[in-house]
Amino acid sequence: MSETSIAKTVYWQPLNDMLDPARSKTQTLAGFDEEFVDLADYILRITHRIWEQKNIGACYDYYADYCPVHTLGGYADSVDVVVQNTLKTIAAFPDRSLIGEDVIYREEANDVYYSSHRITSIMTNKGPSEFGAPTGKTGRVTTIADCMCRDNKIFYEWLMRDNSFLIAQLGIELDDAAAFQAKFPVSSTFTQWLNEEYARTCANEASRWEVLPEQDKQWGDFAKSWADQIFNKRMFNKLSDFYKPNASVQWPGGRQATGNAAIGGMFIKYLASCPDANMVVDHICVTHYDDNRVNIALRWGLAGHYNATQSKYAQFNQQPHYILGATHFEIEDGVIVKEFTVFDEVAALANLMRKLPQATEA
Amino acid sequence: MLSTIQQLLEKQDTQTLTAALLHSSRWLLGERLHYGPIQQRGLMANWLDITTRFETVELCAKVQSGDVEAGVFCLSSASTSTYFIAQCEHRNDAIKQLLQWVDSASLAGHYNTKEAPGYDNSMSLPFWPEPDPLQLSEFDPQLHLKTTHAGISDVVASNTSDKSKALLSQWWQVWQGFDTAGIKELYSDATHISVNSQVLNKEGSPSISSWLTQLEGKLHRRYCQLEQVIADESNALVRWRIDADLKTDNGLIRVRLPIATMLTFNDNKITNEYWVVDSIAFEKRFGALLPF
Repeated sequence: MSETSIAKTVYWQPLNDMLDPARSKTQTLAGFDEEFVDLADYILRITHRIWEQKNIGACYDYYADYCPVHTLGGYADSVDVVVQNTLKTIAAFPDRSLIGEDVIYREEANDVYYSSHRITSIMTNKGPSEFGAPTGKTGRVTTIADCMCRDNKIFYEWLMRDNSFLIAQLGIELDDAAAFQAKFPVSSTFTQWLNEEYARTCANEASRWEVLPEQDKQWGDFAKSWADQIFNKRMFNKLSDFYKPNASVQWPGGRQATGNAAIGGMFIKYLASCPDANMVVDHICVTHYDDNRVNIALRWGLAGHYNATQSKYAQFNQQPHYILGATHFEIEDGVIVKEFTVFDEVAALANLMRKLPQATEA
Repeated sequence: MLSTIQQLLEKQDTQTLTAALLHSSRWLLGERLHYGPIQQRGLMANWLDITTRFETVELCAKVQSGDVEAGVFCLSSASTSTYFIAQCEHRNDAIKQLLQWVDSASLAGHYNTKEAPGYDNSMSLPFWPEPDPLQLSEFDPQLHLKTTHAGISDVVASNTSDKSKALLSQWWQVWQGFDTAGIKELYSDATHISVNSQVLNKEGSPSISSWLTQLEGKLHRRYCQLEQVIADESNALVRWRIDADLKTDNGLIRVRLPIATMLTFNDNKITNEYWVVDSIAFEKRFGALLPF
């Protein structure tokens, strides 16, 4: 079965097929358990086992002992902490579902696989959480988890979650959730990482640039050009080079736009909160859905100086500001028809409250 | 797969629909996306509750293109007709996406009357979903010559006939372009056109032209955006939205109206046109009444 049909199969597969795939093995997956037929299967099934079957200890099977996990709100690098954090999240949201929307992946050299997994969760807040006291309310949230995998284990992860959209449904104000998070100390490793990412992104240096297969190089160029033309050069009339006239775009906190006029307005409003922002695309991978459609995953950073668009945030003006973000595109006829962009606005505001990142003196 | 909805409504068949829904299926109602069995079973229960309060369920028109099927249903009792539009993205026996837009104000009026005779028909339904959070951004609504705006040909499937495309383009020109003169060419006296439960173009009701004029007057800095068009030779579902400034008691607010319009046409004229806008979702989201 070709890669094209794997993406389509994942889109349409019922739960039973997901848990026991009928498709034949098409990727070598050296070092992985024999049961997994491709990387999408590996990611979907281990996620289901850990989160929905509540086999939290399976993290020990599927995470390396040392596994850096980066979020905009914190850092962990031990599988023990991954297990503890998973347990705490399930205690706070006991019915949390993790519904796999898409797995976009790439095979690197040395049997390393990179996966970008977009997940929809429905979750009821029944216990104290990272946002404060339980509210009893149910919300939906989009997460994008980028993982590097080798020998059946995840050994590096970046996690982006649209927490501002979630808390809006839980009835928690952004300021309150951010202030609650800002009370907790962050590790020196996190501060160092955030400062370095900020400096690197301001300097327009990508962390690494992968070698894409020949057929996908155009999509690497497309993604870099999207970041450069729209976000760095602010050429909003170029939107029609990237988006279909009825493209729909989902951004954090319930920002939703369809069509170039609304998409442009949304980006302009967002960028006004960081008007000297620079965006750097740090990773891209591509899967082919069918002859006319590809799905692209980007991980990116955005850095600049904060500029309040609401007076209550004016105290943070001119502070260094950094966003760790991820975007999934669905591309048809060479242009974006759907975009899902995820980052954590709660953590971003909490970092402003902590006066992080700190710009290093030149 | 609209038949699964009909079976749910007419035969209380929850199992066929349950079997068709995937782990990753999404279901839109009340401008909220629902996922997973807990939420979806709740929606089915609510629909069954609703249908017991009506005498008939009729599928008035439907259209199919590729993996997408859509139809307009009419729930009727002796005193009320309530329209809703459903759209399914499906393949084989699976439904990936089920989108529903309901004339919820009409539904609430009928539901509350049946629930407690003499009740005030208030525009509320105890189980109607809270809409998903929405942050609107301001943008330039002008159709500058060098900016790109979706037209019918950008949105319909490439195999749609030129005849259907031409009629739909004319229709879009009337509603998006405020082309009142184009109404005569497109509509006849016999056209049924309803906006939720309000029927236009009949004795004692506004003409299409005056209704369009009123709409233009009430919604300032109006921008119309096509989202999706599903069309065949004689039917079409047009999903579109209006972003505009609306005058309210609390001043001018920016609003978004998602509209589902089902059209049937014949000989270059529209024979039936049903607009469905979820009034309760709009009121919950913006704290204001629909402008029509």
